[in-house]
Parts: sequence; C-alpha cells; structure tokens
Amino acid sequence: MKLQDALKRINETKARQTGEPFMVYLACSFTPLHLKTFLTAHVAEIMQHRRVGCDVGLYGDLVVSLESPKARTSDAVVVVLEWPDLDQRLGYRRLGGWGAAQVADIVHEVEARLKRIATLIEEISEQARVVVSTPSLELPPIFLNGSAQAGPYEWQIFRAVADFAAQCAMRERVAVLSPRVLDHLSPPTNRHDIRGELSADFPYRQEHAAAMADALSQLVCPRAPLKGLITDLDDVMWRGLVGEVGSEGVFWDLDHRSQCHGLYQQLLQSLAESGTLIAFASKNSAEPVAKAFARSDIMIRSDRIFPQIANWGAKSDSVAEILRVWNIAADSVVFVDDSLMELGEVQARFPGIRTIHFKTNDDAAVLKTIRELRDLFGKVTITAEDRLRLDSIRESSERERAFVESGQSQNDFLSTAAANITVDFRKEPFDPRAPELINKTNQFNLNGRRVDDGEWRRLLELTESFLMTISYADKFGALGKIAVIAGTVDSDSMTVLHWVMSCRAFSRRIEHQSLKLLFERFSVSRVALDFKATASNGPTQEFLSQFIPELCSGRLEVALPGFLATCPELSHKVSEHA
Amino acid sequence: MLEPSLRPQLEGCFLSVFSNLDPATVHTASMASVAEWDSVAALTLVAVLEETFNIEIEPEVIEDFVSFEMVEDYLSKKLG
Repeated sequence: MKLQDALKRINETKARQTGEPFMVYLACSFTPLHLKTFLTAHVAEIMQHRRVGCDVGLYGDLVVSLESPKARTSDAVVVVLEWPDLDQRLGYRRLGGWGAAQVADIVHEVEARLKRIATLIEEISEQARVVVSTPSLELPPIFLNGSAQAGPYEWQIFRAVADFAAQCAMRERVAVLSPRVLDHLSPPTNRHDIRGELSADFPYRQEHAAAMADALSQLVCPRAPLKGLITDLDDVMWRGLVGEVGSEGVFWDLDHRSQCHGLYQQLLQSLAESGTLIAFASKNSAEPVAKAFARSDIMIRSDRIFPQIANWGAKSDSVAEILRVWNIAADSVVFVDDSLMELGEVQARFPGIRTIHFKTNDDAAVLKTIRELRDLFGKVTITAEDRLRLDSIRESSERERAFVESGQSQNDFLSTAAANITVDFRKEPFDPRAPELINKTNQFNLNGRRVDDGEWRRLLELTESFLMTISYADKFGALGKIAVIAGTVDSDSMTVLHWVMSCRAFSRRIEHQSLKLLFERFSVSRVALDFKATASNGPTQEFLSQFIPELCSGRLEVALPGFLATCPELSHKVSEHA
Repeated sequence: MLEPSLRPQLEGCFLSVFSNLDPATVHTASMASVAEWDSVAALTLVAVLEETFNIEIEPEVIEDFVSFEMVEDYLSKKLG
C-alpha cells in the first residue's frame, strides 16, 4: 500500500456515515506520522463495515501513554516499542554517553522499564485487545566490542526483551508481533531513517512503516482459522503409490529421501489435536490404505482422520461427501493434492475451496506448504470444543446412519436420543467461546455480523443486555457449547442482535428450543431479530421462514402465539447452569 | 509553471492529505487557510509528493512549502 492509497482509504472511512466505530489506540513514543496513517488504513481495509479511527498516545513517553484512560476504552491498543522507550540513551536524539559505566546502567534501566510496561499491558488487556511489537530497529553502537561480536550486555538486553515478550504473549488477549514475519516483510537493513529520526523523530523508512502497519493490523483484526483439511495420500501423505507397492513400500523417512512426507504427517497430527478437521480423498482401494495407516511408524493416527474416502471416483465427489459429513462450507477448507488436474477438478466444482499443490519432489516447496498450512489453521488456544469437534462429527455421522436404519420418524428418533440441553445465562465470567463462535459461524448466523473484544464487552456491560449460551449432549455424544444468543431485553420485548449455532448441531431442533427458552426465561410476548440475509446463512433463513413467511433483512418479529402454533415437538431435557 | 499534465497529480496529493479541501479551490490552499495544515501534515505532504513524483525533497526546502503555489513552483523547477 502506498502512502497516498492509505490516505484515500482513511478519507473514505472518515466519510462513512454508517457502521460502528472501531478505535485503535497507538502507543509509541516517537512521532507516529506514517505509521499511524498506514495502520489506520490497513485496519480500515480489513474492517470495511466499521468506521475506523486512530488515537495516539503522548509523544515522548510510552509509559504515560499506556497509563492513559484512552488505552482502556479503545477497541484495540497497539504498542510499538523502540529502543529509546527502554532507555533514552538507546536513541539518537539524546546524548547520555555510551561509556562502559553507562552501558551497565542502561541494561538495568531496560529491565526495569520493560517490567513496568508489561504490567501496564497486562492491565489494559483486561479491557481491550493489545498488540505489541518489540524494538524493530538495530541497537545503536553503544557496546565496546565491534558489531561482529554480541557481548554480554547486548545479550542481557535481548534476554530482557525476550522475557518481556514471552510474558506478554502468555496473556489471552495480547498478541506479540513475530520478528520472523517482520524480517520477511521488511529487511532489517532497510528500516531505519536516521534523517527522519533526527529531524522529526520518526525513525522508520516509509517502507518499514508500511510493513509494520500491515503486520500489526493482522494482529489487531485476526483472521479466523480455516476449519478443515482434505488431503490426497499417494505422493502426499507418503512417497509412492500404495496400491502398486503395498503398505510396506511407501515411505516418509530420511532413509528413503521422503522425510518431507513425515513432516507433513506430523503437521496434520498436530492440527488434528488442535481441532482442525482432517480427511483424506484418495484414488485407491481401501485395503492397502488401511494397512499403511496401521504401520507403527506413521506420524498421524488413523482415528484423527474422518471421513476416510478411498475409491476410484472423481475427487470432487469425494470432497463433496466430506464437506457434507463435516457440514461446513468449502471456503473454510483446504484441499491438498500433488496432481494439478485433481486440484483443478475440485476447484472447478468448489470455487471457494483453497487448493494447495503438494510438490512431492521439492523439499523446499513442501516446507513452504507446511508453513502456509500452519498459518491458515493457526490458533492461540485450544478450547474444549476443539477437542470435541472430531468426535462429535463422527457421532453425528453415526447418528445419521442410525436414523436412516431405524426407519423412525424424526419425532420418534429425537425422542429416543436422550438429548440434554444446558443453558447458561451468565454474562460473567467472560467466556471467550461466545465471541469465537459468533466470529466463525456462517450457516446458522442471524446476520453474519462479527464482533471484536471491545464491542462484545460493551454489549455485555449494558444492564439491559442478555447472553444465552447452549451446550448439547445426547446418547451419541457431547457437542459442547454450540449456540450463542445475545441482545437486549426490556419489560415486554427483546431484540436478538447475535444468534449463531454450530453446524454440528443442526437437525436436533435446538434452534426451536432456544427460541422457546427465550420466550420463557424473559416472559416476553415477542422476540425481535436483527436479521440480515447473507450468502451463507441459508439454514437460518430456512428456520426463520417457518415463523415469518416473507423474510427480508432488517428487524423481524416472532410472536409467541405464532411460534407455539408452528413449533414442532421438542423432547430435550433442559437444565440451567447452576 | 508546472507542466499541465502533472497539475492533477499535485492536486491529488493535496486532496489526499487535506481531506476537507474543496477540489475546486485546491490551488489556493495555504498553511494560513487550511486548518489541518500543521507540521505533521506538512511532513505527510512531503512524503506523498516524493512518492507521487518519484523525487527526493531536500529537508531545507520543506519550510518553504506554505502554499499550493509554493509547492507547485518548487516542483516546476525540480522537474523542469
């Protein structure tokens, strides 16, 4: 992004009349100049439905900036550290001496200052998301040894910064910018603008400011991880064609120059453990594939992969079946194959799916693919629902099979499913699962609206707001926390602003029970819904059309008599979280 | 005078930095008449000019950039 493009983007967001404001607070002690411009523009680029603004802290004192009330009322706080923030003698605008005695004192000052900044960041993270970047410029030549050798004081400073970054990164709502990613975006030797630092106290070259802002904005508005990965087997999961050489003839080790396949397996196992859905679609017979997965040296457990499709049909048919079982949209999924033809065939049928070419004989390309996959599916924390996801999908599939085989009506089948719903109306303690579900659910989503931390907390802080979360279990297994409804309520009516339900929970009439619970709990005669039709929320539209014949985006109302007249039989056992 | 084909680019620079300027009167803009025109905006304007015209502006001339006319005059000499 060029500076003029960034200014245009900012002017566009300033001119917007609609959309909730989204305020970023930039805390840096130097003149923010182009960093502020680029950061505002990049955040506005990502949050196109919000009116993005940027406040800056006090010039010259990062600690005072972090103590400001604005740091606690903004939607996101971006802390950009540079060496003078840790000791002014580490900048070029102060002449405090670079002698041996000063250097020892500088180390002491750096440690104390970082401790104070870390405490403030911890406090702010109780209220807002915080993004931190550690110093990105070279240290000035203060050390007695030449630059080829890093001496003990230099290492002590780096250690203090690393300890600080690790402490920040452990906080749930603090993200620390990766120096590795920044190195990739902005070469370290092309960052410092000494002329700008001395004349205007803006130490960054324009390119570095743009790169920093780009990377920081992605942490301010993190992208939701993708949900599922469908992989080919031969020359992807392992080297060789298992149908031809047998299960003992395929490899994924150093001895057979096929280690990259072992690394790929290792990544898939790690992704599966963190809740990513993994399936395979292979043109093969089932038997040799099963034997290969039974080998003791395989790095991904077969039970972490579901569904497993090995047949001779079109790949796109196998992918279609996997998406049906997972019940997720193609745009949440990656398909990995070594054949460009197969990739093209799947892409043509599912334009939204992300395809990745596995270049089986190119170790560097495979490593790049592995890194890319880690980024696409990366998550900071693993929730209870992440651990449950695969089992619940497997159980849903089992449930579906049992239903078909039983020949029962849906009423009869649901009444024998021993379904338990646990409803929780507590707004505190803060439950990160609620906004997480809102931000990643597309199909059963009232309006597709996403929330950031600050917006979510502000809603919950309203005395008239309510929050309802629903957990579900039946004899086929537990689904965990699968639905969230939030909004406002007064004496006779309520407005639902957010309503999402995991696609794993479809076909259990949980949405009907949820609406019934709202009427009962709040003793209202009508429920207003802030509805918006989106390209993905067809299941929501289908549900609402049972009560509202002509759906249109806007405020819709469901009246209690109409609901009761239409609601099907509900056989869940409902309990409230104590 | 600045080459006529470059004038719209210069006007674009001013309009992107000073979002409240009226496009019809941009050529009369000056530090005295534009409230947004402070020292930070002046530095932003210089950076946008450098980016747009692919030039490096000497630090000592920046103080003279107090109006559209002065900037235009500088550019006509620099690019001429």
